[in-house]
Amino acid sequence: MAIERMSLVSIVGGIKKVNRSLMRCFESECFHIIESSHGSDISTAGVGFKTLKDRNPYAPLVKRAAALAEGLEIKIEQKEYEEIDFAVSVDFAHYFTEIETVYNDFFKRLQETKSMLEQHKRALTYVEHMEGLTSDFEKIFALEYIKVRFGRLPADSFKKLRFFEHMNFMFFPFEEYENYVWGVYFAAAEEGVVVDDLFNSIYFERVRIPDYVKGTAEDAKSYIENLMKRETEEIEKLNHLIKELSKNTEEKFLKVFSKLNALNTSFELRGKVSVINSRFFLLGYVPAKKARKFIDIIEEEESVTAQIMPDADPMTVPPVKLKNNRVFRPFEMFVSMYGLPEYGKVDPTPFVAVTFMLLYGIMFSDLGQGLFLSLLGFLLYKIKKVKLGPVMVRLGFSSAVFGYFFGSVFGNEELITPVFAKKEIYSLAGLEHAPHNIFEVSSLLMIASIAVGVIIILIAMIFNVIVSARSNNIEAGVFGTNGINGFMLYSALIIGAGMTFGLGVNLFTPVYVTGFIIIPVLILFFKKQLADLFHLKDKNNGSAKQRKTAGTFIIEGVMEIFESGLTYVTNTMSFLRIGGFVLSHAGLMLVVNILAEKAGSVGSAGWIIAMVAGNLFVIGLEGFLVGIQVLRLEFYEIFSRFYKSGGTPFHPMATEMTVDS
Amino acid sequence: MSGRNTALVAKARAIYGKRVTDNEYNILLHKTSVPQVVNLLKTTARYRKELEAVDEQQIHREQIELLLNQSVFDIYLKLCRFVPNSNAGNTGNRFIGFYIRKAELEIILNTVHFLNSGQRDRIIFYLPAYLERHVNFTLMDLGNVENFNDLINILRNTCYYKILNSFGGTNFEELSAVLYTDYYERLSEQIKNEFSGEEADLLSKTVQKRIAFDNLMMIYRMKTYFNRPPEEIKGMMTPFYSGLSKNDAEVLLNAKNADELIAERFNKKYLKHGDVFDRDFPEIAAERGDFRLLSSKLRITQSWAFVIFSLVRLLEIEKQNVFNIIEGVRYQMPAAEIERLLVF
Repeated sequence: MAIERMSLVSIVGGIKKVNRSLMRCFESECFHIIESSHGSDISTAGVGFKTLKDRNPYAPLVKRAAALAEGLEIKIEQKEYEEIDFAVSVDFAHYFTEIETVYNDFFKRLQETKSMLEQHKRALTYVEHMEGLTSDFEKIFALEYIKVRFGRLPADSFKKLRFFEHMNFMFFPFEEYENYVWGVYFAAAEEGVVVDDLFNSIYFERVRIPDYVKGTAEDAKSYIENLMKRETEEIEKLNHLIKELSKNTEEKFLKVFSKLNALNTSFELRGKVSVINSRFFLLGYVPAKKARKFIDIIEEEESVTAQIMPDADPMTVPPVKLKNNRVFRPFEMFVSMYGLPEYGKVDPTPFVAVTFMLLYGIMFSDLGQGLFLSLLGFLLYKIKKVKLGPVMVRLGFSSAVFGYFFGSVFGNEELITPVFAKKEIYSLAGLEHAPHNIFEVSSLLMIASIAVGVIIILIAMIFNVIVSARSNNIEAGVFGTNGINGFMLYSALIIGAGMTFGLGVNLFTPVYVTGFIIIPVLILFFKKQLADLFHLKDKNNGSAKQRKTAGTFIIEGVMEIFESGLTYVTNTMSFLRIGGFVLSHAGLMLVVNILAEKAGSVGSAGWIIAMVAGNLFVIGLEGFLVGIQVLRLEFYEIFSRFYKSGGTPFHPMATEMTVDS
Repeated sequence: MSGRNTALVAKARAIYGKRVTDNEYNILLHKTSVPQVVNLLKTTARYRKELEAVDEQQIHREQIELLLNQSVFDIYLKLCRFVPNSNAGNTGNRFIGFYIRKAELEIILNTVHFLNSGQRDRIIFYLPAYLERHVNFTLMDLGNVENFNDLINILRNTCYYKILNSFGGTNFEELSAVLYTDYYERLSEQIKNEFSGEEADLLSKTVQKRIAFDNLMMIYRMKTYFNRPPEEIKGMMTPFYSGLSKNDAEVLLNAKNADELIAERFNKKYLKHGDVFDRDFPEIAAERGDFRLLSSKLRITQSWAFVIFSLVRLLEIEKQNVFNIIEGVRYQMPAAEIERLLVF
């Protein structure tokens, strides 16, 4: 349960060294930069300090390079760039111009060809709608005294044409398509304007047939199709040339881009640098164990000095980096999801990891499916870098262990002998013979689920006592719902209920009830006042609270006790889902087995298909659901008892660059 | 309620769920040309199919109007299929035919309007040919109408014949009032005959509210813009007084500050918190009142009749919003100005 210790490091040097120093910070990959004006010595020095606000020459280049990368379909990724000797922005500009010249030529030709293809496609659509036309387009367009208009008319308007039969025009429909009638109208040249007006008012949409369209509609169609074929080939060729260019330039391009991005990011960070009298001042956090080495790297730069600030700075909050062993580390993801702990407080990751694996293992217990889940997680992480992969590996192993205990392999309960079938195990649970299946002992399973929940809740309460003690919070740690008093009350209620209903021994005697229930409840009721006895200062400050009327005080107290009681009950009952999922898993697999048997005899193709599909379905559905349920137990039933988030994540400068990329 | 028709209700709600969203309205408001508006409408769930084949560069504004009108009618027809014995053209004299009858009224009034204004040749252009198979007269024959008598002849076998035949003169407002009075009378009768209990009550109140809004708008317009005497205005109103009591109507008709009283009435009773009666666009207030009433009830009621009635009305409001945006963008009105005309 640890949070990495941080050291506040200040870097001071000549203004000319600011870029190089930032680059060194950047390359160290362990420097979490903060606004240097936050530093106490700066804020007290105050006057005279200013931040660097000069124009970043690399920013436009990054945009330009990103656009180029997009055009060349180069996937941006971080590369080592020691061999790139570009020193100033102009070097980068020259490099990109060289590539752009070639690329732009290809791109322009590609766009032109695509545009031509689009035009021809449109023309083909028009001609296709005119396939009823057997006359030569050229001859039609050559008519001197007749005006010809090709186009489409809304079907609604087509019905109205009969009202205009007295006018000198002829409309020939070719086909009706999507509520439009495609066709051509002919009108005497001298009446062309009037007829055009008429057709405009009934929403005729004229299409311009290109002058290259010749012959009949059929001829024109095949001519345009030939043009389109040639253009498609040209597009393919140009795409191939662009791909070749991309292939030839990719390696160096990525290195150049990485260096450019590093320079750009470090330049952007100049905004966090303070300057006075040609000296710069930089402030940030470094993990304590790396601080010495970091200072050595920084001081390699001439006239730049770095030092660890002796005391924690009250003006800044150190960032939080969780530190856990390899087994627990993947579970840091869930803690981050809830919110990182404050610096110097408790990291709950190991507790989360243990309880998560335990609960998941019980709820999704199957040797075969567990190992499959592990393998899947491993592959997802190795191939796709999915962060959930390592968590799946661990959860899968836990499932496999509990699957071995329950004797389940891909839902088959007969392949291996379950551990609980051994006499010494089942007799421990008070059974006379080994149960044939999990449904026989479902009541026992539910009681066991509650027991697991009670133990986890009690451990969470112990954590709360430790956390409260660290922050000197007597009210929460000693008198609160989850403090020592709450621990006693909850234990007394559980033991009392367990003895009375389980073993038939009524513990709820007047002495027991008074000593272990009424007194803790009263302490809970007066917890604030009791805590104030230990904090005179708080007592004085709490004058505003003391102004409450007796009525308000009683109502608040009663409501709080009611709420505490309710959470004890609901949180405990919530753990019933553990047993619920064990049963649902067994039930689902029973269904899969029955379906497989219906599909064919054992070992037949039908049986295999049904078993594989059924298992995959159960792994997908239940594996996911159980994960969500356990996460819910963690966040609601466990975290809420002792954990408070509020930490700032540790973001070393290198990470920022990767994110920006 | 007696009129349960789960399939229709579910279908109608699904259609309403595809309406133009607030966000889409906001984007539409900031478009700078009609093709841009149409282009964006083509990406919305509501109009994707309707405008799929449209060429936004060539389409005429009035054609968009026609397409959107047709779209509402198609949805109405689609929902009619869920009501037994009410396929298109088979609505008889039943409540479900409310939208076809309203369309018929609009066609007749449109024809009268063109005849009165001497634009007989425009009748053809505005005939919604998609209604040809659904209306109770030969729609396309209206294209040949020369005068009021021709119109009456075409309507010979319909319920409108008697009304038009006995109507003296061709005054548009008065004819409109007579036709709409008949329309609402029939609708009220159908509600009484076909529905009972809560459902009949809900439908009646909805219709009465609609009439009240129309009457309030009539008083507002005629008094504020045309300074017409109360008696004349009364002749133009639909004479049903459940939504707006006779007393209230009399007070408003005779009040000098009727516009203020109507504005106050809308602000207090019909508009949701935050909306204010906009005196430049009084009709928008009536639409907002309708919208508020119908959209909230559409989500909870199980009455198929109310659902189809309100959905059609809400779609008409939405259609009007789109027209207003197109007009606003066409005349380069600022987005904030166009927004005043929208109801959502």
